[in-house]
Amino acid sequence: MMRQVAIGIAGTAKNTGKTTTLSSLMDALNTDSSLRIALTSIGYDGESFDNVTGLPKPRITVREGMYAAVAERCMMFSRAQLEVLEDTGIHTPMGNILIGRVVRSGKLIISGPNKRKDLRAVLDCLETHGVRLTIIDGALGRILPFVETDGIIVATGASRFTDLNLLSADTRAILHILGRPVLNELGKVADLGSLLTDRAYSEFLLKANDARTVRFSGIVIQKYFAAMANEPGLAGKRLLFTDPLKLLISGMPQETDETLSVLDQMSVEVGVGRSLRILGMTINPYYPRYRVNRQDYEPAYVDRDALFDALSQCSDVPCFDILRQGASALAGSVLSLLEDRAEHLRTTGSCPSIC
Amino acid sequence: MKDRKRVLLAPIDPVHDIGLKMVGRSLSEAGHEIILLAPDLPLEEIVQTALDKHVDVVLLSRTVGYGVAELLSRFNDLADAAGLRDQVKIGIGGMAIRPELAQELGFDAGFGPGTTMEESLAFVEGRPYEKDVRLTQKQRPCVAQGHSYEYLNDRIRGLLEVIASRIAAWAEERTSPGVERARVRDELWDMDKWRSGEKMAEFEAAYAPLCEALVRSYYQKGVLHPKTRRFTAEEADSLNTFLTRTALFMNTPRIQHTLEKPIIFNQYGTGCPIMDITHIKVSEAWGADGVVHFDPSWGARTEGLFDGFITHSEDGTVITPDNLFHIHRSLEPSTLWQVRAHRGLNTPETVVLAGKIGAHMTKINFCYGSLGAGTDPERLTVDAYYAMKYAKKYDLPFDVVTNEELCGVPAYKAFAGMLIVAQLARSLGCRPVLQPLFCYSPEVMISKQMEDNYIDFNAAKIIALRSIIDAPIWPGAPIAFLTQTEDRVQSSAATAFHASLSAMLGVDAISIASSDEAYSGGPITVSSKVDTLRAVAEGFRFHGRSKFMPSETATRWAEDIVRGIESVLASVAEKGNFVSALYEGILGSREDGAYPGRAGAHTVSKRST
Repeated sequence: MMRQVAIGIAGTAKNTGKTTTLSSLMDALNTDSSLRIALTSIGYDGESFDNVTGLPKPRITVREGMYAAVAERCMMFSRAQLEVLEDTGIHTPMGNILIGRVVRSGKLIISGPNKRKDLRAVLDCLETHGVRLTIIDGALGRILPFVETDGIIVATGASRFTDLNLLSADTRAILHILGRPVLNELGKVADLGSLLTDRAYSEFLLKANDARTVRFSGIVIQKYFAAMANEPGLAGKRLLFTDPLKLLISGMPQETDETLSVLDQMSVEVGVGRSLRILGMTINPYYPRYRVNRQDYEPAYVDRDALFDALSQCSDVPCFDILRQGASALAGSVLSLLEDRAEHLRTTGSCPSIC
Repeated sequence: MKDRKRVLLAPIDPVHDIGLKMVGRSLSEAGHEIILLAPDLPLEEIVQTALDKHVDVVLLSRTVGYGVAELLSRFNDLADAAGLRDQVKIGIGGMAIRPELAQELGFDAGFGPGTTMEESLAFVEGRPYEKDVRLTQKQRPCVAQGHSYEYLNDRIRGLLEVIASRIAAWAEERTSPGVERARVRDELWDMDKWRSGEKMAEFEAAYAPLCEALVRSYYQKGVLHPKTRRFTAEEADSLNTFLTRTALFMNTPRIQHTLEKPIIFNQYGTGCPIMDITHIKVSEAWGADGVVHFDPSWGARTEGLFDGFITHSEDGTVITPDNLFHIHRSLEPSTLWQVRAHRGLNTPETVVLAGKIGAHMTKINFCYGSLGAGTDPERLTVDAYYAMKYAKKYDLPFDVVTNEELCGVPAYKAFAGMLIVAQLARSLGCRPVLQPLFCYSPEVMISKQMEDNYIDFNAAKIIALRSIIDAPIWPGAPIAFLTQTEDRVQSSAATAFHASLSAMLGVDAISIASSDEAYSGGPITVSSKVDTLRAVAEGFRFHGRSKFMPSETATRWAEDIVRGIESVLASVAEKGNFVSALYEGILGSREDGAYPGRAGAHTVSKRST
C-alpha cells in the first residue's frame, strides 16, 4: 500500500492565516478527485469568532468525499455531515477522535489529536482508510506534534510582529533552525534525555567530556545552549537531536539561532537525525489591534507589499500571499512531495525515513 | 481499590492554587498519592519533576490571562518533546478553561467552572465520568400536589361556597360560541387523524360556522390570518436538525440548591415557534423546570383557532395544533408545559387542545380576563366555567393569575376574585394554584407599602393566603414585575432577590422573566433568559435554607388583606349575581383601573336542553 503524506500548517502566532492557508490549499488540491485527502488538527479551529479578540474568523469548509479525523463534539456543532467510519478510541477534551467521510459539504469545526503520539496513531488509522494526503491544522503556540509530518507550511505575519524588521529576523531564525543539517553519529556516543534543569546540565557536561557525540532524545532549553556557548571544552563535539522541532521550541527563535551560530563558530556541531521539509511560508498582513478606549479589538493591517518583500527576501523558502496569489503553487509543492514519496517507493521499495 | 495513581499538582500561578489543593485533598481521600508543587515554578522544572517522580498524571491550574495560553501551550510542547506526554495524562483547571481551550492548548482534559471533584477523580483514574444523577435524571415536578385545599377561615369558606355555587348554577344554563367550539374540538377533533394528515370533514363542518369570518375562511378557503405566514419546508427541516443536534448534548440541571421548591417557570412567546423552541431549550439547559406559552393578544380576541405551522412578527405565539405539537415534541421529559387559556374568546377550546396535545398545566381566571384583559365578563365567566370542566377531564391543574393588580386593582380585591375562581374549580374537582403577584404594583406605589423594601408586602400576601386556605401558591407572573428596568444586571438581580424571597416563603412555584423582557422592544434575547436563570440559581445557592425575616408590618398587612378579601366577598355574595358584581366593579372598579372588557359581549345564550 502507498504510504500517505502528512503535512502540517504551523502558525507562528494566532491570526497568522493558518485557516486561510488551509482552506485555499484544500480548494487547490480538491481539483484532483483521485487524491483521497483528509483533514485534522492538533488544536481547535473553525469557530466563527476568535475567543480572545471576539473578531470574526474564517471558517473551514469541507467538501463531499473528503476524510476528516475530528473529535465527536465537533461533528455535533458542524454544518458539514460526516459518515463515521471508525472510532479511534483516542480521547480528547472534545471527545473521542472519529474518522469520518464527508457526505454533505459544509462548515466543519476541527479538533483532532492534540499530542504527538495520538497524531501518529490517527495518521496510521487514516492510512488504513486509503487516505494519501492528510493536512493538519496547527494550534496556538504548539508545534511539536508536527514531528509526525512529512513537511510543514509556516504561516506568519503581522500578528506575530507588526515591526517588519523584527518579523523578518524572527522568520529567518525559525527557518534557519528548521533547516539545521542532518548529521550522523561520530565516535563515542552518549545518550541523554532533556536538559531542563541545572542538575541535568551538570550531567551533560560530565558525559560530553567522555564522548564525541551527545544524542538527545528530548530537548535542551535555550538557557543551557547559552551556557554551552561558554564551555570551550565542547569544541569538536557533535550534539544530535531527533528532529529540528525540538530545537525550535528550545526558546525564542532569534536567541536560539544566535546561540547555535555561536556554537557553530566554536566547532560544536548541532544537527538533527531527520529533517523536516518546509513546503512554503504564507504571510498575512492582518492583525487584531487593541483599542484601549473601547477595550476591544479592531482589524488592522500592515502594508501587504512591504510584508511580502521583507519575508520573501529572508530565506530561500518560497513565500506566498495566499489571498492575492491563491494556493496553486503551494499545492504544487505538496503534490511534488507526494510524487517524491511515490518515486522513492518505486526505486527503493521502502518509505523514506528522511524527507 | 483501583490502581493507586501518583499525581503531580502544579499551580502555574503566583497565588491562585486553592482549587488545586481542593482537588489534591479529594484525590488523597480517594487513596491516590499527591505531590503538590509550590506555585509559579518554571515550566521546565515541572516537566523535569514529573519525569523524575514517574507520575501518572499532571494537573495544572492557572487563571488564563494575557499571554497565558501561549505559556500553557509551551508546557505541553516541552512535555511532548521531553517524552512526558507518551506516558502521562495532563489536565488543566481554571476559571477560563473550556474544553475547546484545553484542546487547543494540547491538554488531555480541561476543568472549568462547575467541575466536580468526581470529574477530576474520574480523569485521574482513567474511567468515564458519570454525571451526578441530579443533572441527568430530573423528574417532572407537580405544582399542585401536597396541599389539602382545606379552608382555615370558615367565614371566607362560607362566602366562597355560596358565590361559587351560584356561578355554577348560572353558567350551567348558558353557552357561547367558545363553549360550542370547545365541545366540537373535544368530540370531533382526533389527534391521531390530525397527525396522519387525514381530513376531518365532520370536525371542520361543525367547527367553521362557530368561528368569526377570518378563521372561517381558513377552514373554507385555506386563507391564513394576514399577520401570519407558514414556515417553509427548509425552515421546518432546520428545526428537526436543531432538535436532533441539541439532543446529543442536552442536560437538564436543577436550578434549586438544597430546597426542592420553588419550581421555576420561564415564559416564551416570541411569535415564532422555532425561536420559542430554541428559547425553551436554553431555559431547560439552564435549569428551568417549566415553560409557559404566551399567545398573541389578537388571538385572544379572535373567535376560533387557526391551524398550520405558522409564525408572525408580534409578541405571543399563535395557538394552533401544529404550533403546539412542534413545541410539545421539543420538550425534555422533565419539563412542565403550561398553555395559557385564561383571558380570551378561546379559553375552553384552548384547554381542550392543550390537553389533547399533551400540556401539563393551563391558566384560567375569569376575573382577571374580564377586568384586565379585555373580554366581556359574562362571556368569560361562562367560558371559564366550561374550561374548568375540560381542565378536570384532561387532568390539567391551572393557576389563577391576579394580573389585575397591574391595572391598579388592590391585592385584596384581586385575591377575592382568585379565591372565587379557585373555589369554583374545587367544586368541579380541579386543582387550582393560587397566583399572587410579586410586583411593584400601582397599589403599593400609591400606598407606599414598598417604600422601604419589597419583602414585607409580598410576604404579607403569602401569609394572608395561607391563613385562608391550604392551597399551592405560585407567585408570578413573572415575579418582580415593575421592579425591573432596561438594565439587565438590575433586572436579573431583582428577579433573583424575589426568587430567593419566594424560596424562603416556601411557595410551590414561581415564574421568572428574562432580563430584557420588559424593555426588549421586540423578541427577547436568549442571553437575557440565561441572565435571570443564572441569577436565580446564584440566589438559591447564596441563601440555601436560610430565611428572610419579614417585619411585624407584614403580619399587619396580611391581616388587612384578609379583612379586605372578606369584605369584598361579602359584597359579591350580597349582590347575588356574580357577573353583575364584575360589571359593577366590586372585584376591581374603574377607579382602581379595571375596565370590564367588551370582546365577546352579547354572545352568551341560554343552553337548549
